[in-house]
Amino acid sequence: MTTAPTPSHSGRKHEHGVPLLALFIALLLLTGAEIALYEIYRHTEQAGHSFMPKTALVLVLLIGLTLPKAAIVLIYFMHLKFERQLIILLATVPLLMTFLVVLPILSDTLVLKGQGQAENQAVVGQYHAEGEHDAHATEEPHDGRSDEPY
Amino acid sequence: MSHAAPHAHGHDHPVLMAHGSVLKTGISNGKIATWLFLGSEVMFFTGLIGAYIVLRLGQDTWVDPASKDFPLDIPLTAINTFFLICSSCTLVYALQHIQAGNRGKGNLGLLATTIIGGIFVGIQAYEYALLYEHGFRPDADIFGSCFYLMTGFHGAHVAMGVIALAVLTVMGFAGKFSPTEFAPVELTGLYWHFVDLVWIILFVIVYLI
Repeated sequence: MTTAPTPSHSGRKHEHGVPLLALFIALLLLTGAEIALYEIYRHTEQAGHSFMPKTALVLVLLIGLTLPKAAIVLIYFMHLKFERQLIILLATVPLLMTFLVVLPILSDTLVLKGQGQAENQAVVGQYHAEGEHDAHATEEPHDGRSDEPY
Repeated sequence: MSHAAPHAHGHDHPVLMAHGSVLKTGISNGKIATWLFLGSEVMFFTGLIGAYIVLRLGQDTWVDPASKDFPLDIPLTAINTFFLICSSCTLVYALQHIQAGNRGKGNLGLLATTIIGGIFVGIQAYEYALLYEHGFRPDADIFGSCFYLMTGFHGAHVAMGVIALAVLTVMGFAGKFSPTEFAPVELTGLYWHFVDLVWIILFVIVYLI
């Protein structure tokens, strides 16, 4: 797979000069790096001495490896590099808008999490105080998560 | 600000005319419509991913992808990711060759993309079957709900893309595309690359971290 010769469409640079083979190899290498990093982390974590903190792993995976992959697809495969400004706006504005919506909610989760923990403790304490049966106290948490393995 | 020049130029331009009618912007209506549709898709998937992140951060416990209890099959999904990346490349290959007048290679690229896309959907169905066997179902826990919701909607998008690509492949072999008639391939390609882009993000967020 190499860059195919394309006819010259004056004023329309899209589809031109996309180094397909190089981009394909870059995408494969980045994906391979993601999986390798995850596997190394998993093995070292299960052995009890993870080679890097989880936060660092998340940042490296998301910013260092996934973001470049997404950028390659968006810029070259979807031709944003060669598009007019209107198309670039159509592509980026919804993304920015949704980030703006999600970000405030993210900050909320920290508060909700704290409240959830407090509520859980209050509910459990209430059950104990009322002398309820043990089964009530060991009901599934209110988030619906089961402790049983899959 | 005058749009007179691009307007006149746009209507005369053979490549733009290949996309149908043209706005004053000099961009085809089809391309603007596709990008508007993709904009709504961006918001849709960002909503799902945002909800996942909010739910995950809001929980006291969450299954750790590094633990032995993690139900998802990473190597199988890595292979699937490889297939989806390949399909994006074969589609770019197809479009480039159709634009260059190499109809045979263009059709071959379309056929390859359709087959690889079908393989992706097949592997995802197989993964679902395996997970069901192991008891990881949408009602298993909140992670199960999120997992099936996000990957299910993405899989549905891929399936729709495969159908569209199959139609394009048939059209290609029927000689419908040429260096001046390739708009359906380009616009479907935008959709397909977007689906690939979403998977690139989902794979890391759902499977690896």
